[in-house]
Amino acid sequence: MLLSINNENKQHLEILTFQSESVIADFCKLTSQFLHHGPNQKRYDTAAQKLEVDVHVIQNCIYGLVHLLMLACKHKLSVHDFKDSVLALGFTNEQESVLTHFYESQHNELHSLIKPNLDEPHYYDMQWRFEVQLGSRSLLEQVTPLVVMNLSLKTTDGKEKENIEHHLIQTDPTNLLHLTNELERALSESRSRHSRKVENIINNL
Amino acid sequence: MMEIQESYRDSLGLLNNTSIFSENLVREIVENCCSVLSGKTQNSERIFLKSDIEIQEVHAALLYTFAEFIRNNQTKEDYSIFLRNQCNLRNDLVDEIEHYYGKWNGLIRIQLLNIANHLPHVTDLKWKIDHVVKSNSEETSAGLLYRITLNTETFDEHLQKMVTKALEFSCTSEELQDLVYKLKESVRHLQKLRADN
Amino acid sequence: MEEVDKIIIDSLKHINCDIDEDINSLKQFEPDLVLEAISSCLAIINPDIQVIKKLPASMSGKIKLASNVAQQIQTIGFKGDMGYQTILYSNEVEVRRVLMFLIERLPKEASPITTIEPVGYVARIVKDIEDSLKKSLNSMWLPTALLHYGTRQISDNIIVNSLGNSSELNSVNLILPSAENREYIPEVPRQCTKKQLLPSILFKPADFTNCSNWENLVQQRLIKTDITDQILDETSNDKYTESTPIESEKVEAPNTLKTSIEHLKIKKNELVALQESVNGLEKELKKIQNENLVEEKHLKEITHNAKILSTTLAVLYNEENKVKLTNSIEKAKNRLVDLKKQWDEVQSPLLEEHIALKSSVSSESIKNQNDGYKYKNLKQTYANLVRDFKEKYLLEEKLVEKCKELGNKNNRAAYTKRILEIVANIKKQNHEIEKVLLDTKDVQKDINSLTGQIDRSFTLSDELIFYDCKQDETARRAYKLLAALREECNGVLQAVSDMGQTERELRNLEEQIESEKSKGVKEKLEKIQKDLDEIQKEIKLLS
Repeated sequence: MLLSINNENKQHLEILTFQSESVIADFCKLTSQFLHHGPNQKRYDTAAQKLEVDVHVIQNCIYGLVHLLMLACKHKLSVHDFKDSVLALGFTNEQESVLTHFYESQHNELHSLIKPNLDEPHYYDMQWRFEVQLGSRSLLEQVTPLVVMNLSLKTTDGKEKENIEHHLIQTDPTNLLHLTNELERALSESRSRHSRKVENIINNL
Repeated sequence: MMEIQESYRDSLGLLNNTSIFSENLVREIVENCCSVLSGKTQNSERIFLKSDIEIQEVHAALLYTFAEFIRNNQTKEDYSIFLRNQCNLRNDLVDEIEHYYGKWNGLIRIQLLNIANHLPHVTDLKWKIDHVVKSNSEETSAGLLYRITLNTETFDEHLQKMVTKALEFSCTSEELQDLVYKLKESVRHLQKLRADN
Repeated sequence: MEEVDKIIIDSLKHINCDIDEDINSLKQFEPDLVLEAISSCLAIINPDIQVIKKLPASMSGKIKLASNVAQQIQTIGFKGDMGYQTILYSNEVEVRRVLMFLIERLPKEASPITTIEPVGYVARIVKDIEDSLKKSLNSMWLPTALLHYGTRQISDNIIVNSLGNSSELNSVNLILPSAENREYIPEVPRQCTKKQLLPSILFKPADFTNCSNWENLVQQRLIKTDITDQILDETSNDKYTESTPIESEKVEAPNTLKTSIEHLKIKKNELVALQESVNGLEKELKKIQNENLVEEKHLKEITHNAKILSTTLAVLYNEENKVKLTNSIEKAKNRLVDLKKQWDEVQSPLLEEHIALKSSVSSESIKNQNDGYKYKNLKQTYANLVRDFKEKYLLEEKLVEKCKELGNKNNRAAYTKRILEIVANIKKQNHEIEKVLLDTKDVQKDINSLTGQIDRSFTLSDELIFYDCKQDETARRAYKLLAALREECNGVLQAVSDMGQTERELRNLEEQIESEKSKGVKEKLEKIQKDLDEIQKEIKLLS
């Protein structure tokens, strides 16, 4: 699929189409710095001087690149589709290969940045231990098999901070079997025909 | 062997006094003891309306000895030996009380078992599969998301009753696979330990 | 076949089938016995099936039962021909086939190696763990709402499915009822909450603040009794002061009554005050008297002392007396030394004795203590031994039972022996078969060489005569004769081999006839005819 990019954005990126590959690579570097450390006015100034354009043009160009990347990530664009989209913006093959390479290198990182962070506990880890209670103060001789679990859940609050909560819970063999069977059923349900059908329908939306 | 305080033995010895303890009364007292210990009832008004001090003493001693013997995992034969040899009770009384001991042993054990175990106990779970169609950060579908709710049970000291709490979390297919794998590992372990096969 | 029969009969006996000792082949099986054998097997294979082990008297009943059983066998998966006749008109071969099938289907002995009851704490615990795991893994999941305090009881064992009811170990100080406190102490179960009861009975609380539960109760009741006492006092006071005639006035003039009561109260108070002052004064008087007595005693003592002093002073003024005194003092000193020596003499043995006794006492007490320990230990070991004995006794009982059960299983060795015998037999037979095969091969070889010889001699003579017959007339005739001879010979050979074949066929047919005969179709038909007749008779009787 091709990205549909509005005209304003196109204008911002237009300047790049006239540049050599090395300049584009420099822009890519600037963009990556922008993503990691925010804008760097000084370097924009020097770039503007070199290319003999206004600083705004440089800035807009960087923003345009970031926007392009974000859009591509949101749509989970494959490398191939990204190539086509870039070519459609009027870049040459050589320029496109630089941009595509950049997209490839940044793809995963960008993806983790825009991951949904709805504030809900998410499975992180589980550890278990099997124990048999052989006696307690109130019942000296007994055989009570128990499985103690440490369920770690991850919550991400608004500021990208990860919290890991530990829940100590226990259960008995009968219930353990039940839990396992139920969860296995859930897993196999997702592979069932019905579920796949739904998935196909949604993917084709 | 366990030692029972002499005062309790003396109290139980009172049961030999037929002028106070008719057959019916003994039965009533023992039955009440059992149902109190097994958590069925708390009040014991019916007997104690006409309460003699002896009845109260016997009642307390029965409560104590039942609890102590069951705590030590003694059989009803052990208990009857205790009643016969250490409290010198009549045979018919011993048989009667032994019968109740045998009958209620299990239920009282359950009460003893239910003391001081604080971890929430998982008894059930609910799951649903969500298909994320679109989110503010992703235009296309992001695949499956499982939402799992574990039902855990704990005893609320404040309310003095058991409460069910839900432990909710979500996970992706891979994470669920991981969880199931770990659970299955534990189940396999248990099955390996099981008596035969 | 004999061996197979033995095995079958043995297995049947093993599943409690009543077979006479002198029956040792399936030939001797009567229809009743066949039915019993088959139905016993069925009952074990599928306990749900209802089986009848005796044939009913009436023919129709017999057929119905037999065909029922036959059908059940077929539902288990028996492939062969099976009908009511198999049971009623037992045919050795068929019965053998059916019984073999059924015995194969018998469930194997529950566990091949019977688990030996473990002895000792650890082994027992391990077994308990295994058992409880097995039970809880095999039992169906149930929602907690259906469970009794999160547990369920499965044959003596308690399976824990939830410990959600488990409260803290929270104990309070309980007060046992006794004659002194019965007034204000509630019975034991009411001194604490439901969940506190068991812990409180078993353990004294470490935390004394928990006693507050019943303290309040006690206080409330105490106050109550105080109040009643007060009220009682007042009313009794009233009765005292107001004698009967005034009671009538009480109704008419409550005011005067009140005032008079107040008046009386005031008076009473005054009286009390006066009495108190009198008491105080009396006490003071006594005090003063006591002081007086003490002073007098003091005075007497002082005068006595003064007298003694004056006499001694008088004596001391005399010199002689002084010397006498010093002498006597010296004497007394000497005497003191003597006495001390004497005393020492007496004392030292006594002291020694004392020390010896002391040490013996202490050693005795140590011994006693040791004995006490020993006694305690002995008691402990006795208790342990009793416990062990009990366990061992139970174990023994179980083992004896198992031993009894095992008694029936001794035929395992017999089986293997028999199987080995069979294997040996089969080997022997195999050997014989091989021998026969070798023989036939030899014969075949002979035949082949003979035919080859014939062929060769014919061709040889053929060639010889053919060579001669160009010149010789007789040779030509001889050749013709030779050709004829050859033809004839071939015919004879053919006939011989044909004969062999027919003989073989004949034997086959004979075998077939034999087997058909053994099936006894004719008899069967006759029997069936008879059955039919009988059934018809019964029907007639019924109609």
